[in-house]
Amino acid sequence: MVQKLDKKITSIVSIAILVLAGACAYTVLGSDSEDRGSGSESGSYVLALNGVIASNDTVSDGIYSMKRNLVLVTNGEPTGNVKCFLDWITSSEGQAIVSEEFVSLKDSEMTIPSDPVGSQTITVGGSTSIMETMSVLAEAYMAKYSGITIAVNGGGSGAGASGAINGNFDIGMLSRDPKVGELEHGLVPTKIGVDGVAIIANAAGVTNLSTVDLAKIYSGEYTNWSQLGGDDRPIGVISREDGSGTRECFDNTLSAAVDGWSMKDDVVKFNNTAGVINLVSKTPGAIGYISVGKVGDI
Amino acid sequence: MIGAATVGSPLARRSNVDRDVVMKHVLTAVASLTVVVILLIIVFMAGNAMGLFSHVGIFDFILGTEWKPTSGEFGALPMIAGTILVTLGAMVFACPLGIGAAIYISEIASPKMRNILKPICEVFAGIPSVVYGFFGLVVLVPTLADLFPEQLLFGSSWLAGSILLGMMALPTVISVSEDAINAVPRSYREASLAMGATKWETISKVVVPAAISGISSAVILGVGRAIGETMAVMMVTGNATIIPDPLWNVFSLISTITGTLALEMPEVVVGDIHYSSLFALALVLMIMVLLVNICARMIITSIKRKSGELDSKTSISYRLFGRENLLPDGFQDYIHNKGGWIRTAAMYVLVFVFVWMIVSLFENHLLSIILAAIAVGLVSSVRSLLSAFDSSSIDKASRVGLTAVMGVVILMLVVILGYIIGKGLPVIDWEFITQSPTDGGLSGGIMPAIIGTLELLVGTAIIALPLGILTGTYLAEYAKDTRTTRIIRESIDVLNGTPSIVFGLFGMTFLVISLGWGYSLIAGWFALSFMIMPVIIRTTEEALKAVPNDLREASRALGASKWKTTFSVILPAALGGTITGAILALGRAMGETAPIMFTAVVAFQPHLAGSIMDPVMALPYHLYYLATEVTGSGDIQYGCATILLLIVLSMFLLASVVRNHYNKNVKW
Repeated sequence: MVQKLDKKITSIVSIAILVLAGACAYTVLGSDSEDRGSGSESGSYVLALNGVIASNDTVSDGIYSMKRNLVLVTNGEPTGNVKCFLDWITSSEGQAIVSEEFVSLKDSEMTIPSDPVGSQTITVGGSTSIMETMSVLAEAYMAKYSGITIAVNGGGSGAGASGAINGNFDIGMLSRDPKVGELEHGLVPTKIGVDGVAIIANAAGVTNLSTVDLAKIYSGEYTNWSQLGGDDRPIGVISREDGSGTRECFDNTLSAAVDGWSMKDDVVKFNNTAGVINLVSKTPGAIGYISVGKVGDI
Repeated sequence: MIGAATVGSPLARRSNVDRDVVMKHVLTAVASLTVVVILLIIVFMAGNAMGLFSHVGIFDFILGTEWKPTSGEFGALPMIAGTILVTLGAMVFACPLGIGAAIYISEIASPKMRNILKPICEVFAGIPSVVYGFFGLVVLVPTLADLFPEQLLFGSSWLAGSILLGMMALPTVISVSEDAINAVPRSYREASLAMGATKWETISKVVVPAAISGISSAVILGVGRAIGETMAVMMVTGNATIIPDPLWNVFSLISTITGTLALEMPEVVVGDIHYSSLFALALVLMIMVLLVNICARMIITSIKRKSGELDSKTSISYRLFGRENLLPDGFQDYIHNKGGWIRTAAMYVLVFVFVWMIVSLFENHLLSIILAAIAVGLVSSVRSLLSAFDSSSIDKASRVGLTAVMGVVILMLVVILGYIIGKGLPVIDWEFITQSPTDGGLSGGIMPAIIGTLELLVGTAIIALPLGILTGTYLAEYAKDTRTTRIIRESIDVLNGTPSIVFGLFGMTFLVISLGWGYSLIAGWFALSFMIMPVIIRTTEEALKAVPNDLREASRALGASKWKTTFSVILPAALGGTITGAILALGRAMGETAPIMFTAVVAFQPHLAGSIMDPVMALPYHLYYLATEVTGSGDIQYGCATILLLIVLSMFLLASVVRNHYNKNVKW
């Protein structure tokens, strides 16, 4: 009798748990679809820096100060099909694709490409800021010349430079100018465009920041938007990882504005743009910085 | 089987003996490869790390609290502390659930139920790390941010990392503790029940104490699993290089060694000081894992010694000081006599401190002290209430409790799988499987990633299976307890404990850069093979050891040589276990991201690899890439995760089918 009761209790509990499981799974699934609905009208927006909103126009006019060159590097002068591909990127056809995200080259800097010969796999890798555009470039080039395969990898600007030096990549992507040490290894840079770094925030109540204010947010001096005249909401600081090209551009601008500036440790770090965009859009009070080319995604 | 003619001819016998000797040397050579691999790993890690120590002292590195590698500050303490804290948190989560579930499976569930529950728990182990990370990113982190809006600005936190890691350590804890509980002789239970003890009293006072050494090793193996985990942790902890303040602030952002490696390694310039500092970090991680393993062994031998399985006179303290225990005898007796009282007091203190720590994260100090005191009072009244109940109601309550634990474990699995597959299945159609990604991953299919994953799998099998099986054979059939064998066994243990990201780093510096292979299929094959070899070796060895000696003796008595016996009689007899182990290992290799992200995979390569020197796309990395780099690829992410899950889980299913088949057909 007691055993029977035990079995009953056990089975009742099991059933209860399974029902609970279903209910939980359902609520999790259900609540998420609501999230996605409200996600489309997310509160992220681009903050003006010293009164200038980052966009491809303000970057190419030279009004917006936080910007960097986008550079492809090869080990030694480019030759053969690699040269053909590079020339095509810097031609009007390639630049049309580049300009969808970034500031393209001036007409005087453009080149006239020649057709590649034979078949070859060209490996490109490096900066994650350029990777998506490079994938589109690669797709278009492969559709045009069927003999050529282009493999695109991310990594980061550092990986792009060292990959080109040690031969992992035929072409390295850098979202900064190559460093002196890297040039000493024989890297030859080809500039393919310019990109600004935009400041994005969510529900901060502030629309404009000076470079000094921005520096003080990232050094930890300001911790609440009300200190900057915004809403009473803690500032959630998001950054890119050490070594990133975007981070370097950001750090350089702030270091130039404030002597001895350094970023505080208590920041969320991502090694990609999408992570920063996602987290800012989900978090009221968050601030982050991304490539101007990706501003359309926020 | 080999026939009398061969035995009769002395020449033939001689050549057989020669072949035996040759085979033995071949096997020894193959087995020594693991030693070579581990040495290479250490040499390359240490060699690359050296660059840092000419700039920064070892103590400044380990105890420094500032990690600003681009401005020359290399303090690794935040990451070391973070690794330890996240792992501890994971264990707080995984131990009660894991051990409870193991007790439920082996003591309470009916045999039929057991046969269902065990494979279900194995499915947990099969979910790839990057899928856990993806789940954490899209479900866990936002949920936590909603639950604790005051404490968690972002949701990314130590808590999120620990919950995910706890889930990942669960299958290890469950399966190893369950083995330990099963190994307790039936007669113990029967004796206890015959004395009139209830089921719960038998479990808590007889079975668990008897299995305690196995359960401890389960916990420590779980720690080992959690400490080396990379992708999942990196996706949810926030990676801020700070030490939580206060130290138990589970809502703090945190960073682990593995996460920092995966985050920063792609950005550094090969050969500069930041690069060396990351290798130094990897070295610290390896040492930590090694320490965990050594502790595990010490704890287990000391428990075995106490329980009388080992001679207590072999203990270090006996050899050094001539006594088994360093505490004074009187103290031992005192603890023994007043043990109950001291234990109760210790428990109350622990409850007080724990509640105070947790509450102080939410409220001010005074309130948290008051609440902690109330909690202690509550515990003591529950205790007195419990003693008022008769033992059969406690038994019932414990049964319900254990069932609930099991239910929670199953629930987590249902939620993870249900959520991902539920959203992924509608995305999958013929085009999704057969087309290349377009628009930088925003549209199109994932065919190259599927093919790339299969290519990685086949190559890894070709390299790892022969090496692993031969080494396992050597250990089970040929190895005597010599110094060489011991070194080989130690190397396999170390290799087994090595975190997967270390294989990635090693592959990058050795295969990709030093050998000049570049990002290529072949570099990925070797990195993955090194990672899964220890598992294959172990399972092969165990399967061979399970073959009864009668078979060997019968074969040798018929005149078959040692190698003939081994390869024609023993290995086929152990095939079931060997194949199961191999499939499980390959399934694990398929889901791994960390070893291939620096050696073989690229984010975008729509054509298939033309040669083994070409890079490929792979499902785990593609999922990581989509989830973290490509904004707006939501549906494709779920589709990709689902296909990865389905492929890996079908391998696990295959393994359990093979095992069942052999279990049914092979009986000694």
